[in-house]
Amino acid sequence: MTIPVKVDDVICKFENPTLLSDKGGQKIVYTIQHPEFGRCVLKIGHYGSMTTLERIKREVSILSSLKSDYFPTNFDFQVLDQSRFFIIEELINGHTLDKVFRQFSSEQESCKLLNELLSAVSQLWAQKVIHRDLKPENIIIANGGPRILDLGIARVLDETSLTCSLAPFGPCTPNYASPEQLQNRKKSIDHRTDQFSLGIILGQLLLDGTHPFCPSLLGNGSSIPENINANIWAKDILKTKLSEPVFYILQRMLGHEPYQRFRKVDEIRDKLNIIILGES
Amino acid sequence: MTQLFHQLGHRYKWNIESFSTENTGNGLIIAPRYMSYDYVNSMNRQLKRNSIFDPQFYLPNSDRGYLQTYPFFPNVLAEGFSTAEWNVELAKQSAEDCLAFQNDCDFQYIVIPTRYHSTPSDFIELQTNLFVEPFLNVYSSKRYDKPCLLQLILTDNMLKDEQNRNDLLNWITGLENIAGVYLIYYLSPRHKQIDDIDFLISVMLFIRALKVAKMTIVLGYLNTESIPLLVCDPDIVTMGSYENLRMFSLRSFQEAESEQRGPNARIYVSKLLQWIDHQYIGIISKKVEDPKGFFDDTEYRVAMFQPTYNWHFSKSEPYKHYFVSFAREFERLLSCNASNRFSTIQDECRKAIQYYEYFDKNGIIFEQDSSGRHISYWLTALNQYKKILESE
Amino acid sequence: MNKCFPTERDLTETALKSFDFSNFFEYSGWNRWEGREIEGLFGIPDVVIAFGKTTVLGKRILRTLAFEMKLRNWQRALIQAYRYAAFSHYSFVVLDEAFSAPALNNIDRFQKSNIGLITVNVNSNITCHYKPKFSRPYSPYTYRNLFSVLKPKLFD
Repeated sequence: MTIPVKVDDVICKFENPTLLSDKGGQKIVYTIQHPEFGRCVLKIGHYGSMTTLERIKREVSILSSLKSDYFPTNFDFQVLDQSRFFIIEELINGHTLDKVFRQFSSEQESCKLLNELLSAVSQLWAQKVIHRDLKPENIIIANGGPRILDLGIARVLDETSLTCSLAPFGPCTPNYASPEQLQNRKKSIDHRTDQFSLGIILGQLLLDGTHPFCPSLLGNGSSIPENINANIWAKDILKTKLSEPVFYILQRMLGHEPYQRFRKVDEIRDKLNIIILGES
Repeated sequence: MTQLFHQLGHRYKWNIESFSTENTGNGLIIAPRYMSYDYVNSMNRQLKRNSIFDPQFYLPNSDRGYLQTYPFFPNVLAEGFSTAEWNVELAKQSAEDCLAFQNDCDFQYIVIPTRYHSTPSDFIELQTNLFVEPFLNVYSSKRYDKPCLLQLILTDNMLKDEQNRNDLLNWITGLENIAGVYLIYYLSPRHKQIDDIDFLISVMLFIRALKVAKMTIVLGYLNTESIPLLVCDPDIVTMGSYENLRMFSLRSFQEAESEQRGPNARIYVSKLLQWIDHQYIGIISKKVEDPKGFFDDTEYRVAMFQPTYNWHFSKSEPYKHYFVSFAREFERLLSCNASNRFSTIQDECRKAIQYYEYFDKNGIIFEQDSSGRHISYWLTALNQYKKILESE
Repeated sequence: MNKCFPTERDLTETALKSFDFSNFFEYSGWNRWEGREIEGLFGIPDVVIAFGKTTVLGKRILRTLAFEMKLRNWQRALIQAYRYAAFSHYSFVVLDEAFSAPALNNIDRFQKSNIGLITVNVNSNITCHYKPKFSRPYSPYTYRNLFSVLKPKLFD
């Protein structure tokens, strides 16, 4: 059983702390009023080893160096003691994607969104960082476009909080995980793992929010991760519903093995641009 | 469009002459085992632009032939190669010198070498540590503009086992800086012609997966199975003179050429998709309506079919005849539409089988290595491969 | 239970003792030569028997018979024997009678390819199930090579 992270000694240092998210006690997120940064997000987390801490530091550093509009700006990172740290980052106003699927239900809108998301994550991939936890709840649709949250840090945070039932997987959200994540095939995990997750999101956009591996859509009694593992998805439904170019992109991104997916992000973006420009 | 390269080796000058004077093929694959460092350096630059250099690090401790003239060859650089002592510094030095050599010679591609390793379980790790990572690091740091090919020698176990195949494909396609693969498959034991349907299909699937990933595929040490493999649209296939250049084997890197038994003299017959022992020429000529039309028409046939011709593996005519005949056949097969290629190649196979059936009806019994036994396996592999594609 | 030959060598010795060459041509007055496992031809024939004579007009005539001895594998024997037809006028498969049934069931293959089929049993009984017709060797190259080897042995 996991022990919740102690937070009282931290939040008392900031004005107006408002609990935003508490998922099982290992990752606690508040909004606070910071004297320098204004209204922002405070995340308090736990690390289990120096290796984990070094990884967190590295990814914070990469995010900071990106200076990208696609990710919340990182304001501060501090190690509290031998097991805890906190991060202060930009508060993004907007709705998470899972709440606004319908805005992107047309092929062109969903392709435009995917194009933006690829622009975002390819900045990480260029730094050899894989998000590993892309899902609608981690994508905020703000005025300027999509913003991606919980890069890596969530992965690290979740790593220490895995229960026995999740242990066979690596750190991930099973419903958005690639087969190699679900099977914990670490050597096969690379940027194409994120591509698979984006493929699921694309499928959801085109199915008005329904998960393409959802058992109720497929008429089987398996769970979503089981369907992902078995490569069973709404292929026939989407093939008849979608135009050929869009279906091709989706099918490749949902390739069961990494080699079946697009090798380079430019290839996806070239195909998306043809769709996007073609209809405008 | 698929190109045809000569796989150079023993008597490489025949290949170079045929390529240069008779326009057979589109390029050469250079073999340091047979061609010294100085010779390759001094080769005509245009010739090298149409060539690929195969570093031939298959057995890094080999001391055969001209490998010793290459300062970056592992056995030379390490003054006696052993896996345990091959360290990061040596790998880096070998990479720098080998890649610089390839770049300076202006070869079409830069090839990352491979070591022969038969055990699938740690194949990727071993290749990565020994050569792939050091060579790719140098390739990236020097920013060579030539596209890079990763050389691989794969055994039938690695290709036929689906999990192994997937692991290899995931690894290869995950290497960012490589443009493609220079693939050699190694079957042991094997007949002269591949007659393993599962193996052929697994090779086809492997090639296809890499083509879908938009990678360049060069297939080395091919025999006439290059013809059915054309359906997968590889970028380069090869033709070699002697059998050890049409079927990969490590023997030349373990033994001197003279220690190997000379082959029986054979002649390539494109209508039969096979090299047959020259002894059958007489009986075939008696049985077919048009003997001259049956055998490929080249200037070398005229010489070989003289009654006084002395058939011997050291004669160039059978091999130059093959280069011309096969290059023609290759061009003819590629001249059809890509959409018709499948059926064209299937038809070639069926016609060859019909010839063999005709000969059988007329009492000719071919020994196994001259027979058409393999062709029905090819047809079956093609049919099954087509079904797999249609089911996707 | 039928008795069978323990080795191919035993089969060979019995067969050659019992073989009647007069069934094929009149060879009296001809010079005879026998060779075993000769290399450098097409395949390695177990036995080659050659007869040569010089006619009054000085013409050299050679007749060669080649034999593939097999205890039971008739299919392999047939392939080998057909190779020997490259340099011989008559080519034979000789099988142990005890295992000859499958071959006899496929006698048409022997007839089609003009390869003789002979069976021998341990009692030295020899049966010729198919007698090949005289046929010129189909590989002039190999026949020439054989001729040059046999010339000093068979002709004056």
